[in-house]
Amino acid sequence: MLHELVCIERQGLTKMENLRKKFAVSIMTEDRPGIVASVSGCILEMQGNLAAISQTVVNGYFTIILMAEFPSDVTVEILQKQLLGAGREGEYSVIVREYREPAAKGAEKCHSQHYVLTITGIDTSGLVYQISNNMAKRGVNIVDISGHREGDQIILVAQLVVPEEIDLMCLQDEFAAFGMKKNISVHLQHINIFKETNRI
Amino acid sequence: MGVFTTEEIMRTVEMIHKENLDVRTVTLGINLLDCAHHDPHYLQDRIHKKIMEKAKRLVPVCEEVSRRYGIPIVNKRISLSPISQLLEAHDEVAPVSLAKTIDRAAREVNVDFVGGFSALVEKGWTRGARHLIDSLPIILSSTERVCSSVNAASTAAGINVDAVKRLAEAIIETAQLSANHDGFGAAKLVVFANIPADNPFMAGSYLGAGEPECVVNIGVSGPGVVKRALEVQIKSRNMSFTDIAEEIKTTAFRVTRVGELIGREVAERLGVPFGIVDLSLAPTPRVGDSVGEILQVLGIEAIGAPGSTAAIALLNDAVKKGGLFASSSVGGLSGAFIPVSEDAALSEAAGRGDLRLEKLEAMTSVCSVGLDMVAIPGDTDAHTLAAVILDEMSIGVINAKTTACRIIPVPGKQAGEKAVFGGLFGEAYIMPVHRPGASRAFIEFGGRIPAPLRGLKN
Repeated sequence: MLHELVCIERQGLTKMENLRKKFAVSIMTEDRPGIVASVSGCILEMQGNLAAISQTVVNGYFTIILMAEFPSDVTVEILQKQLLGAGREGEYSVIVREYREPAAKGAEKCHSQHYVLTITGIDTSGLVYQISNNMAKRGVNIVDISGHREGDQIILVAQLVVPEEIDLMCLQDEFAAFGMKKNISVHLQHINIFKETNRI
Repeated sequence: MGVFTTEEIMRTVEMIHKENLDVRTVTLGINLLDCAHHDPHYLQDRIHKKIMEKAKRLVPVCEEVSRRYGIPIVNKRISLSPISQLLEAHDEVAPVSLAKTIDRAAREVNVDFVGGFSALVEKGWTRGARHLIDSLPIILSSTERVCSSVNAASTAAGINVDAVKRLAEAIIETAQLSANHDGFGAAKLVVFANIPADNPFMAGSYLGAGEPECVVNIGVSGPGVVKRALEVQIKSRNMSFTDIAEEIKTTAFRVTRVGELIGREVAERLGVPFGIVDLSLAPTPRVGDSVGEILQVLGIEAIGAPGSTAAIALLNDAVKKGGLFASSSVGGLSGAFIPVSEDAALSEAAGRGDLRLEKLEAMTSVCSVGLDMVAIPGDTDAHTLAAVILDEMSIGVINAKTTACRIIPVPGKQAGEKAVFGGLFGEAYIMPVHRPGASRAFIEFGGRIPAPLRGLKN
């Protein structure tokens, strides 16, 4: 039994050593059971290995973004064709790109803090644009955003990476003024408050 | 939403913005014993200088941290070494001028209150303690932010009845000197049994022996959060007492974690150690931020009715268990407060006659902290008031727990009338005292009630 395990591990290592190219993949389709299985099965068949994966369903639509490593002879075109073929005819929308290390990652870790923006109240058109456009101008990165509407009420939650040189109090005051104007509640709080209240 | 669900995020947001979760106090403890000097002017100068040096950044730092996490910090306070220990070599006029110096320093650093005009007299008097207690009526009626506490009893020493008698007189004098504000001066004086050395809440906060040179202690709030959590659960499913305790524990865990997060960050920014988080459920006069309302949610229609003591015991115990799991630095009073004037539901229950002094006393035997912010008729005599205090001290001494009295004899007002203190101190219907004058002979014995068997633990 122990001998078998060692062999499997060695085979895995040999495969990993041959993996040279990393790709970023995004797939969108109407949700149904079996999508993750078909996509991950396709990657396995191509001797690929998942490095990171995130999936969500919004109003019945499935999206997945993943990073995977493949043998060096796999190209963007080959991978895209195989993934399109993993679903039913015309079912999957697939985008594939060769992965490049984000240039800002190091700087972001050193000089920024993660905050959570929450918005609740009556939805109006352009709400996400107005917030995100303002953030973009200031160099605030939105790394996660989710929201849903029930009737005319919206709940919007976004995780922001705020550079430390930005005056937090000023930003919070602007959000509060924006909320007053739109008659919605807007709060910006450091992410640690959510860690402390929700995680043991 | 990444590592959190939207529900988790919104639960935290609602706790803060809809259910009145806040940090009730960040209290900076400052050791003053190195300021001792036989010349009162030197003493005052040294104390003023030290408070300014240690506390000048307290309020701005609290505001920064409060904004960062979106958590209100309601009060910023200072607690000092027991001032009586600095008065041992001084005459009887020294306490008043020193209190005015401390009041000025508190104003200059913009803190809400400063505690520590205190004495520990459970076993006997010293010259400094005597002078301090004698000066309390003038100090508490002529200063704005100075608070006082006196430990008159302990499980190890028993009860100093002479001190209790003198304190009862001082409370009545203080109330009379602040008659234009319904005796509010007396709300800044607490008489304790088993006073904790690290309590961040006023008026009983002081920096006790064994504490560091400087330390940040935190008091959280959260009755509104507990009430809302129970309301939602009770409406949505059948709950047993075990389920209720579990829900309170979970909520207390969240509340305590908030307190510790804020406390550690304030301490770090000030460059001083973090001390403790006091996980007491501290109500405010705001509707929805009341311990009394929690009892109502638990099915006690009239607060003070049979079952009230059991309900508060259940609440108090579950809060402690949840808080202890959340933090390894729990201290202070850490229980559920039932300050009558500061809790709208309790105040109304007192006004209706549902909650009487005797039932309140019973409830304090199973929670924190004692007869707190209780208004009684202004013509209550000192012997009767001393007897009320003695009863409360006995509960603390025998049960090896902290109990306290913050009682306001409201000048010129009788039972059933209302006393208005304002702000977080709220307003209270004056509670009748049963058979005033009937305990006079008992109090007259004087001396010290011996320490109970429970005090001999070695």
